[in-house]
Amino acid sequence: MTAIKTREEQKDWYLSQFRLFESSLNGDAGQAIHSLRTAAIERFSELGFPTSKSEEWKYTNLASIVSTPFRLALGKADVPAGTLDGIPFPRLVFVNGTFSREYSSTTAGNESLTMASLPEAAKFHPELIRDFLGRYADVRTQAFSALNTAFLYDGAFILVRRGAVIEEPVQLVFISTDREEQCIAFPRVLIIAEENSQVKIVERFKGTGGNTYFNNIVGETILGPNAVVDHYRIQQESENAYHVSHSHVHQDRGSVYSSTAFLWGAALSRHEVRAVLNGEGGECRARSLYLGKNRQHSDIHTVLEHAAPRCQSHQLVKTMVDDEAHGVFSGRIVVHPDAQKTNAIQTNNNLLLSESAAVDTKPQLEIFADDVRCTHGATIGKIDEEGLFYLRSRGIDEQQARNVLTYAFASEVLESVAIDDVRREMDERLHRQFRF
Amino acid sequence: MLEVRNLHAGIEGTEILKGINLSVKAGEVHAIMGPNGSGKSTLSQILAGRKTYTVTEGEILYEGENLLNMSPEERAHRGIFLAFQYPVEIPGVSNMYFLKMALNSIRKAQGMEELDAMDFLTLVKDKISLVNMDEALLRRPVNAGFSGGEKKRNEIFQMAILEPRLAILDETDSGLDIDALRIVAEGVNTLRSEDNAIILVTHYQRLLNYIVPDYVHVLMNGAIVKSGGRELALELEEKGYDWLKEEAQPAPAV
Ligand SMILES: Nc1ncnc2c1ncn2[C@@H]1O[C@H](COP(=O)(O)OP(=O)(O)O)[C@@H](O)[C@H]1O
Ligand SMILES: [Mg+2]
Repeated sequence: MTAIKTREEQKDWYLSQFRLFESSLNGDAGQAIHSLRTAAIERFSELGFPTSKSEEWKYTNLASIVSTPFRLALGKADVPAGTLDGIPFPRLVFVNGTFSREYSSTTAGNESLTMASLPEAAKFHPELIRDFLGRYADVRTQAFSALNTAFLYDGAFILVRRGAVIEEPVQLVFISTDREEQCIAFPRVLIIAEENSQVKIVERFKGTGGNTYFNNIVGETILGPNAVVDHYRIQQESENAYHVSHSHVHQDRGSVYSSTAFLWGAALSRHEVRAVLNGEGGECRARSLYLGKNRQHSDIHTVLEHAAPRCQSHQLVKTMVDDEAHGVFSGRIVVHPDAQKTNAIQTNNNLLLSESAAVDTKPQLEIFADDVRCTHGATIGKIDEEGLFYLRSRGIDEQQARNVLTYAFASEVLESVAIDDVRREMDERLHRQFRF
Repeated sequence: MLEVRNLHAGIEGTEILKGINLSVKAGEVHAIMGPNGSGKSTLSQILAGRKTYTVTEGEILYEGENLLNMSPEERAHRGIFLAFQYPVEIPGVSNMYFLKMALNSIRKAQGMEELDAMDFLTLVKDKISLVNMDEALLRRPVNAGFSGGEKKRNEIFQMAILEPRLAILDETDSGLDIDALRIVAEGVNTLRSEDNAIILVTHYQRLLNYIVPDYVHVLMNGAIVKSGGRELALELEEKGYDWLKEEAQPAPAV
């Protein structure tokens, strides 16, 4: 198949992929979940991929994704040695979108924590899958979420039972191996943290080769009353990869959700967090760090909806772009009429490391309540000349001084990482990148 | 060691330094005094290599070589150190790490072996007692959240570690209490030797009770209007700067 040119071809292509997928399901196509899929592929056909006319996709040109005839990743693939080094258990590993039992540790029916693949979870907790899978992913308006849902099969399921406090971070690893060109995978994550439970989750995306592939990811995270979920994402896709991730979060009263994303890889990536603070006193923190080089493009998009009184949201987005890289941040805060005493803070700092690098930043506040505190601030700057002079006056050469200050800029996101191993790993990664 | 000849410098077309002449020999301590805005920090920063200022006339020789051609790091490698009036905060990078990087950059440039972690620690322990600085500050990010006094001590601590040949202290005494002032003075007096030179920028004479300078220069409106021995500092203390104002005017044409 040559490049896809029209919207009609786009629709036809994914419909044909869907039929292939459907036939590979055999008997499974009879399940309740399949009506979710068929509704989703229909919706995707109506929506098509977003264009730059859409306000939410204004600064990201999707032409390369749209025009590529991606094929479903099929068959088993080997994981190159060393790929999983340093990633501790408990963990669930997915290779090209498919669950790999061999590398994973599952617990099902455990009193406090269940971690399993989605098909497995459907056996143990059919009622939870029925009630929550696809419930908060916005298939109606989000084309990528619709497409993911149409091809929904495998994925990670995490259930933390009422009152359980899980100490060991749960690791989710999505590996993309070098396989045929132009494969597409649809990783899916469902996290349910029941009332008063606490869990830390580390989600990793790792590419092991140089081929073009597309990971279209959807996550749904549901927090019961007073639940605490600390969610890390380490995106290390290959340099020719496309990565579009939609994370839909639903929070009950008093719950605390933190999302911390380190975006290192992919040619083009979208990191989207859509959280609804649906109960009184909830808190949502969203932090991201993006380091773009070469011709990378990364788009960070947040939609934080304050739908209940006395909730807080804190956002910190730090972007550093070098070479001809491009960074986008658009953050929308919506405060519903009855969400009084809302406290929403959004900070976006951008560092331009080269003349040809660029960033676009756009806050968007929609406030329908009167007793609220919303602040947002964005800065775009170069390396601070005064800091540079200070370091150089101590004998540190210019390049190294620049590296130190770039690292210093990034370090604020590291400080909030509550898992020592992850913080150390990201710190080392930064040091390696900035060679000091 | 340092020869500043007819130095004119400014920023965006505004002249700040209007013909400075200054000669500093090894072993000497020079105090530069003057009211706020007279150009003391500008001179200090130009000596350390700040490129924000444009030198429009004159020259600076350091150990016989053209200083103006050297990058800030090269100057540091050759032994120039500036204690900043406003030290810069660097989040995320520990004081210790920063200092080790600085010291090893200088050692490397001087053809000396880099210090390993152990040797560096020994050196740090030795020097930190000299400036009576809290050891906790070593692990904290450089100057981030430090009090004014802590920042100044940290500058002196860096100086003690780097052991410069020419140290320029830009109002290191400002905002310090007497105890801190003594510590700064001790740091400077320890460095003082026949091979080294020190330029103390201050606008109070009280520091000079602890560090006795060989020369005192008064900088006003971008020019050195009077030079003398330490008694000039006492005179300034007594009479202020106003009486020197006339001398700051260019001599009338005859
Ligand atoms: N970066 C700068 N931009 C504009 N003006 C400056 C700058 N640095 C210094 N000046 C001006 O030069 C003059 C001398 O300043 P400075 O050297 O800081 O004086 P001092 O240290 O003696 O108080 C002042 O009028 C000051 O406003
Ligand atoms: Mg000054």
